[in-house]
Amino acid sequence: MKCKEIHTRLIDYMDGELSRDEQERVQKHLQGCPDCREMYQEMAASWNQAREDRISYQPFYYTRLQAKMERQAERYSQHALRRARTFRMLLQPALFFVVLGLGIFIGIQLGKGLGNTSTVAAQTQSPDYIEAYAEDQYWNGLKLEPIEQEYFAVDSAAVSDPSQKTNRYE
Amino acid sequence: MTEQQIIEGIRQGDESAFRELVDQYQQMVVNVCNRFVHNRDDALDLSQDVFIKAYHSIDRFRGTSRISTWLYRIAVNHSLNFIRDKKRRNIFSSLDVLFDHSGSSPVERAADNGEEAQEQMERKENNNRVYQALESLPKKQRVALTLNKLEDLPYKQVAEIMDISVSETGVLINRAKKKLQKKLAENIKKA
Ligand SMILES: [Zn+2]
Repeated sequence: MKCKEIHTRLIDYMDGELSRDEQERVQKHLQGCPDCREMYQEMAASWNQAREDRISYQPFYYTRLQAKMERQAERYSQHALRRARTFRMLLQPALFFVVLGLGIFIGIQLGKGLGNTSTVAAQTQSPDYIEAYAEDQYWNGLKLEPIEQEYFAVDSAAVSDPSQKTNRYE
Repeated sequence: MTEQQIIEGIRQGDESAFRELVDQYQQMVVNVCNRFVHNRDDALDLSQDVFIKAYHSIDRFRGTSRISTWLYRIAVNHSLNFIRDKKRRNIFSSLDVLFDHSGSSPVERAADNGEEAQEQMERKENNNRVYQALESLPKKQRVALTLNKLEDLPYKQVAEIMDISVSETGVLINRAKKKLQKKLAENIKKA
């Protein structure tokens, strides 16, 4: 084997992932070639260093995480409150006219001897839906990660459409 | 707690279940983030966002895969997004230097740059040769190889995390390994 071929097999050699025959040939070459030996040592050092680059267990991790979540929740609730206020400001005048219109309509209907106003009255009294809307906006504001991820989704498009000549292994 | 109990617990708002999840998977998530961002502080920050995302999207976890696979997936996504955004930020900050509209005095600017340089030093990436070579690989090859060779995950789990077939995973990893070894050899020769 030439030196260049050896160079592209060194990590596999380190991890013992070559065929037995190749493993032996690389070993023989390394014994007889100081250049490749040096290359091997450099590569092994970097490889092992990368593999051993690990962050140990952090004892206060959960406490910090909790603090971060609380900060975020607070920001979101302030945001939701602002939205709810704006919403109320816009909605109340609109609601006034709707109720007014309804009143006139019902009045006319009543004049004709029709209709039951109790359900309408119950609905217009409760501001619960404003809260519900605010909460809904809050959850919508938290955009969830698309678990069917964008990076890998591109690939399945390529698979299903053979006319696309993108390399799916890139 | 079993996986099922943890998931059910979180769904029902049981804090101890979430705590258990974080405790059990903390190191796994932190380390996989570090495999992509190559910086300890960034990895710790980012991993917290992974847990927050998991917490808020727990209802999307269908239970057809293991929790670890699901967390790995969120972590890989977050890390890739982080790298992408960081690249963008770097482009913009270098543009800022080119077209400095701030109108501040040269002295102030120098002070700002000093602080920035300090910040950059603190957040300096691990410049391991393997990491540098990995950064030059196409994204999917990089993900597959990182998970298989550095995180020691079997092909089957890598396939599940990436939502591709096992044979496709094999092809990706083989190509990635060839490129990585070539790139590493080049970088070592240059040095
Ligand atoms: Zn040689």
